[in-house]
Amino acid sequence: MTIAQAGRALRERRISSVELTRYLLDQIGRLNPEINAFLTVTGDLALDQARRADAGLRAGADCGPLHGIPIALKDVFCTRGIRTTAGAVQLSENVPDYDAAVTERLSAAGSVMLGKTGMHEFAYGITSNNPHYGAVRNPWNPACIPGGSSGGSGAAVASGLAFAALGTDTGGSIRVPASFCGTVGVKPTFGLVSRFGTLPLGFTLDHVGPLARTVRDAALVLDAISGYDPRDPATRRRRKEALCPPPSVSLSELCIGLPANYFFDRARKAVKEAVVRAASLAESLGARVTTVTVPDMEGLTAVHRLILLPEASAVIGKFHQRRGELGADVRALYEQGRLVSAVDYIDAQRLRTEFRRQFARLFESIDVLLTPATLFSAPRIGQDTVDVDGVPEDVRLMTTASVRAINVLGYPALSMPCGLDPGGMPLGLQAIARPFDERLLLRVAAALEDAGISAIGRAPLCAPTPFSAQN
Amino acid sequence: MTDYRKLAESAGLDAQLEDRVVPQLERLEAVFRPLATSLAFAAEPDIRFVAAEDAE
Repeated sequence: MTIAQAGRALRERRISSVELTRYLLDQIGRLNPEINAFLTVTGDLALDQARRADAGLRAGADCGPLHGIPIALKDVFCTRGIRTTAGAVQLSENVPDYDAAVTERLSAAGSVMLGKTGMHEFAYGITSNNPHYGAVRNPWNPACIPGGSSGGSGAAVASGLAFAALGTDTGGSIRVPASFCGTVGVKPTFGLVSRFGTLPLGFTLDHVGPLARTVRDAALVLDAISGYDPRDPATRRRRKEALCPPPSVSLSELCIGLPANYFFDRARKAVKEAVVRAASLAESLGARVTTVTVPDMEGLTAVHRLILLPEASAVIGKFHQRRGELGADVRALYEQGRLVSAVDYIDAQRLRTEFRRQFARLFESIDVLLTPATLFSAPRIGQDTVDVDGVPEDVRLMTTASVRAINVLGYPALSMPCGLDPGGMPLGLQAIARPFDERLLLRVAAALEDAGISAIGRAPLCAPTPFSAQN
Repeated sequence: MTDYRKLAESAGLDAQLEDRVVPQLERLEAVFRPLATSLAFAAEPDIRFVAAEDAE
């Protein structure tokens, strides 16, 4: 059931928000012990919000498409009076006295908060195998990671425990779990969504965005959370435009780029085939597909790492005296960041400007670039390396090879399901557009989704649809 | 090239941590250093960190 379908059912009184919320809380109680998608379940608050949403609708006070819709938040967004840990033991007692901007906006949109989702420690990794709060498991195969760092958000959506969830993406942390869990995940343009009240990892790389079951669901959530916020100096004063694609979309007059270099070099065969199939589908829907040479992605990825390492160490440095409590992977990254020189950090920022120029030139000839979101499906929990052409490579670096560099550019990008691998695990397609062109990005994604590219079925560990979905 | 081993020792990292940290930084530098060296003298960072467009 989509958000729009649930919204219609709520407005036609076929179901109440309380019933919907109670049903999902029951399902969380049933499935969460196995998946560990939720770190905190806010049942009483959710039911209270649901009652208010129902009363609002009865009184004719309709807050919009998210009114009465149950949604989850990654445990990195401040929630007044509710513990917010960032997956870190150092923040296990952190109870903010204010809401993050996106928490406020979702509340103003009438949504219901089911709880806070699990994540990689400090959002600094892609496994969500958290040493303090337990491993989040993939609803498609609980022996596999859901991706990260927004792994709980991806798992919650894929297992039908929430209509949508918010995540953060500093180097792929929305798009990787979306790819591994078979959901849609949108990393918007840097500056579209306020980061106020979002616990940081990389100040100049962090993005906030939605994970959802469909492109239009993700668009509705993005619509609700985007906009200027004086408390986040990076947000832009732009005229707000509706992002949700109409029911029928065309791709005619659009030019889609398919990379000739880098992105397919180390991708699994099934991934290559799925992305090429998506491009062919776009062509059949009227788009012109052209092969393009992308700038030095290896270099851009190195720039990302040179920026993130010291920025993250500056953040985590608040807990330097407790660094011994960090998980082994985050501890190693923390120490790496402390050894990067200020000169290298500044040079990385200078190179960032140069790469932006190169990408701006590339996007003069194309509207959207299609690539794999991840080069393979979800690895198993505890797997440290992945085999690439017979060479064991670091699973974290390989997992983020397609997505990490885009955060340096600030361009909007999404991951959407584009098939299953031979083992039955989801594969993700990444689409990238020009800055602040989310409308176009979502339009292309919706057209592909409508044409069936994302028809992968449901995860084995998934709650049944709450009631008969009627349009 | 940067002597990360020496830096790690100075930072007081134990041998096990050093082995997790140093090779990663060395590989990263091998990609990054030629790019940094190629920067024009007057190349500047965009300190707003925003993506291309100004406010309307």
